[in-house]
Amino acid sequence: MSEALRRLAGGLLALLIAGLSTAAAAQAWPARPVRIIVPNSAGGITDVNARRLAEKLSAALGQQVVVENKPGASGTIGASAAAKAKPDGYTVFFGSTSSLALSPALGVPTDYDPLKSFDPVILFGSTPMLVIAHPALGVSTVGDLVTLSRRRPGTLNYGTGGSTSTNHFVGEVFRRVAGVDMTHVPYKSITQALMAVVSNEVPLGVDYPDTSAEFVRAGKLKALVVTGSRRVDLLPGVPHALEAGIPQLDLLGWVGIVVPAGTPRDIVERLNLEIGKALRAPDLREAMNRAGWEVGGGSPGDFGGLMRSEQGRWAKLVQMTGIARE
Amino acid sequence: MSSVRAPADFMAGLMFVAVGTAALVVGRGYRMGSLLSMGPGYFPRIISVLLVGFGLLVMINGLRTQGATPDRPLLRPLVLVLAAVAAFGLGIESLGLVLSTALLVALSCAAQPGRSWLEAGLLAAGLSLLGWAVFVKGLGLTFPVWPQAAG
Amino acid sequence: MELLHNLGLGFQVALSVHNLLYCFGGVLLGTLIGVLPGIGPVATISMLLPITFQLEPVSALIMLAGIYYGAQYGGSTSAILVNLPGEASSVVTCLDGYAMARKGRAGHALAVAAIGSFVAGCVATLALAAFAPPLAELAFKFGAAEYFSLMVLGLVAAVVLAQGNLMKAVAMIVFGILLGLVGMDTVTGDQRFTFDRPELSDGIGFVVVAMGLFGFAEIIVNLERGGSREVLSQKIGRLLPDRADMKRAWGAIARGTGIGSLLGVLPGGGATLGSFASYMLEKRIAREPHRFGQGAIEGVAGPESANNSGAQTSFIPMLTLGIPPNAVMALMVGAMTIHGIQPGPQVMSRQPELFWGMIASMWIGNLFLVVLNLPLIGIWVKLLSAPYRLLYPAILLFCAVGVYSLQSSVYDVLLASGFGLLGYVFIRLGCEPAPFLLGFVLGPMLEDNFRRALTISKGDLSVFVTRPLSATLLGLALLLLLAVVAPTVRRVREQAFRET
Repeated sequence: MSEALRRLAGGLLALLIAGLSTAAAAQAWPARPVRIIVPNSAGGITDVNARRLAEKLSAALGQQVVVENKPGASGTIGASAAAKAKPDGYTVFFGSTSSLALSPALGVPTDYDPLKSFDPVILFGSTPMLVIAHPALGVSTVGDLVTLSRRRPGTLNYGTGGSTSTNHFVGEVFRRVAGVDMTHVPYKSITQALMAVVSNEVPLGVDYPDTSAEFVRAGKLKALVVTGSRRVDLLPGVPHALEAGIPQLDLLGWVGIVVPAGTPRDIVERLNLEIGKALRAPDLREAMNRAGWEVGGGSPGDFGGLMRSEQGRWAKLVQMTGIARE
Repeated sequence: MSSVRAPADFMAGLMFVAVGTAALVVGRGYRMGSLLSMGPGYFPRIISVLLVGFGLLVMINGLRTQGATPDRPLLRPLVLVLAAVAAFGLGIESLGLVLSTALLVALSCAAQPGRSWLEAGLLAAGLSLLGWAVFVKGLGLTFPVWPQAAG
Repeated sequence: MELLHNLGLGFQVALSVHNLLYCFGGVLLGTLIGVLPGIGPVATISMLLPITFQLEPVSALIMLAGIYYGAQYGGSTSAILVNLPGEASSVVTCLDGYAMARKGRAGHALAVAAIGSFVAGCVATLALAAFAPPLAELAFKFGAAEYFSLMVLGLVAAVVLAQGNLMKAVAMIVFGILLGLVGMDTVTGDQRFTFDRPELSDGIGFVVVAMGLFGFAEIIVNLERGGSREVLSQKIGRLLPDRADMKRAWGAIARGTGIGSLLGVLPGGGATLGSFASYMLEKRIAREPHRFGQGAIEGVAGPESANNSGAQTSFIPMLTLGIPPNAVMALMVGAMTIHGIQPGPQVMSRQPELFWGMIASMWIGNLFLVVLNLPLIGIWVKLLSAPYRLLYPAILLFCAVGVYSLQSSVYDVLLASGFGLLGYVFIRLGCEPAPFLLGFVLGPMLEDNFRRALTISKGDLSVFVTRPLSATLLGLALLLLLAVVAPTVRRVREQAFRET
């Protein structure tokens, strides 16, 4: 055998082995439990959604999928842990507007870059936000509110779940664009803020449809506008931002799934496929719709595109509203 | 310090003054605002000053009234108990439950002089098993049981 | 009449065989995890949530509720036996409960806690059934100004908790408040005292601090004394309290139940205050207040009753309004949504079998708990007679796992170890950790609500006295302060006269 031939054979053999072993690895995945890092505390809508997904994925992958809660620092602690994990397909991150777009835009010190440290898998879902008012204020539309605020400047307050939260941004954009003179009152949590509006401690607030829709239906709250460019099934009578003439209010909260950068392509594809299937399952879809969420889907590339555009959008919003952390 | 009649009180006061002062130093850059529109620094500064103030009062009290003298601390249990907990925390994600438990048991048993190593070994084995049954099997907590490949 | 009809409906639901089973399973699991330090109902319920997807909504909620109040029950066990408060409301149980245990009266303490909790649970469930909507209105009357005044009252009450040197206790409260400020400022989003550690940006967890101050420090001190908790290994007499004990305890149980039920309704920290308030009240009205901290049975009976009745009435905001006052309730709201029940103001009228079924199940669950726990007391007390050299590594392990499991955070475990050191220093210098912890819990709420009240009133300080409820609370705080300070002032003056 000539030297060249031997080399060729050796090369082929090596290639074959490499090919077989990657095939074996891909087939073997998942050989052990897969963990979904959720950067929120147990309870709450995000955690519940993640656990629902984990249940479906466990069945589909034939391997246990477990949820690990790593809450704290607006989701950046969980994100940083996920970014540091080995890109072997056994760590999946349940990211959101806050951890993957807003916190970096606010300059929160993080040791990860949403676009470089992660590979996108799929958009899980999105939810609009809602500007709500206590009925005693006597306003039912954005127009009413603008008129009222001109008549009584400097008297209106609005509550949110905290400074620099997505709701705070919605409130500030609304204040500037619609020209409503109102003061921000941050609460410790979104439920405390809702309670404050229901009890009329503050007459206005920004909330999510899943928590406030029942109050609107019971006549205990008025909903003035939902963010984004479509109405929500939960409250079909409430106009969306475009209808209300505030196109700048096309902000949505979203949740998407990413894996540490460098995770094998075929695993990402498989995750995309299985999560996509789970999202099309009627029970998950209905449950999310009932909470005012729109289920996601699409390709990894689609979600990557969304993440890129959201980076820019939140950076601009930070500039426009002047909301910052010192 | 023969003039200190209640050394425990005096030292407690000293601790309050030190912590309050440290908080004033760390928080010196926080924006004050005013009483009616407090910045992030207003409340911490009031609290720090109060802590220094009460600390001084406690110190003065320690000089004037008769009181207890703190026992000399024994370093062995103090250091080893705290180290046992810390070692468990540092080990749990990479070494897994079994080895971290062994570490915790070894260090905490060493906190008492004259322990039998056989007993400690058995205790470590028993507690590992119990911990595995309760936390991993029973409650489904997600930490590794055995060492993880380095990554 | 309508109430009876509704309760009839509720019992019909709750007494079905499988709902009884879920209720029993829930309280059993709750008791067990309540005993484990650090592993709280939140972790357990979220672990179980997927299982409940398949259940009937009523069964699921009955079980989850059982876990919650069962855990409150179990929490008192570890507080009494090993001085480990699993949450803010069991801190005061440690004070006299652990003191009783050290005197060989662990059985009495556990029994009176169980009996008190049972009575409180029954009464509070009845209150929940009869007065849920008006009590929910009370929650609405509490705005930022009222919460601020309530926190002031709570902090003044913390001074009453103090056993020795008043000045030192006040300094400890202030120290606790300072520690509570670590983390993000709610109003502006600024980081305070976090030293650029993201782990600190949401503040320090209560369990992390309590575990170190109470659990670890206690173990170190015991080991210094040669590793024997001499008293505990003494022969333990009767397990159940005798008539004289119960005579002292009944009043405390009744008062604790009332206080706990009322404060439990408030979503913003009311439940925490219940047990503190009850302890303070018992100490104030006791004929020999110096017994407190030395193993006074009222000091266990009152707070435990308050704790448990608060746990029941804290369901009110959730059941009548769909507003979850704490993380456990948030999980239950999540469970409701999974089952297609939109939590909100209409649950009561639209899902009567759910509302009344849950209430009836709570009563049954409390019965289960007392039946379950009284025999368990014997086992717990036996466990204590195990040699301490085997017991303390086990306690350390369970604490460490508990702290880690809260947020899967190594940092928290290291921090807890650090608080063990601080707790040791406190013990050596004769500083009491209970006022410190109360300051730690209430301080941030004090600041938050003060600033919020002023933002809402556009900088008008008079809101605190023009709102009647707020003014009442501040008035009470002032009275209490005078009552605490007056004897000291008198003593000082008498001393001064004598010296001149």
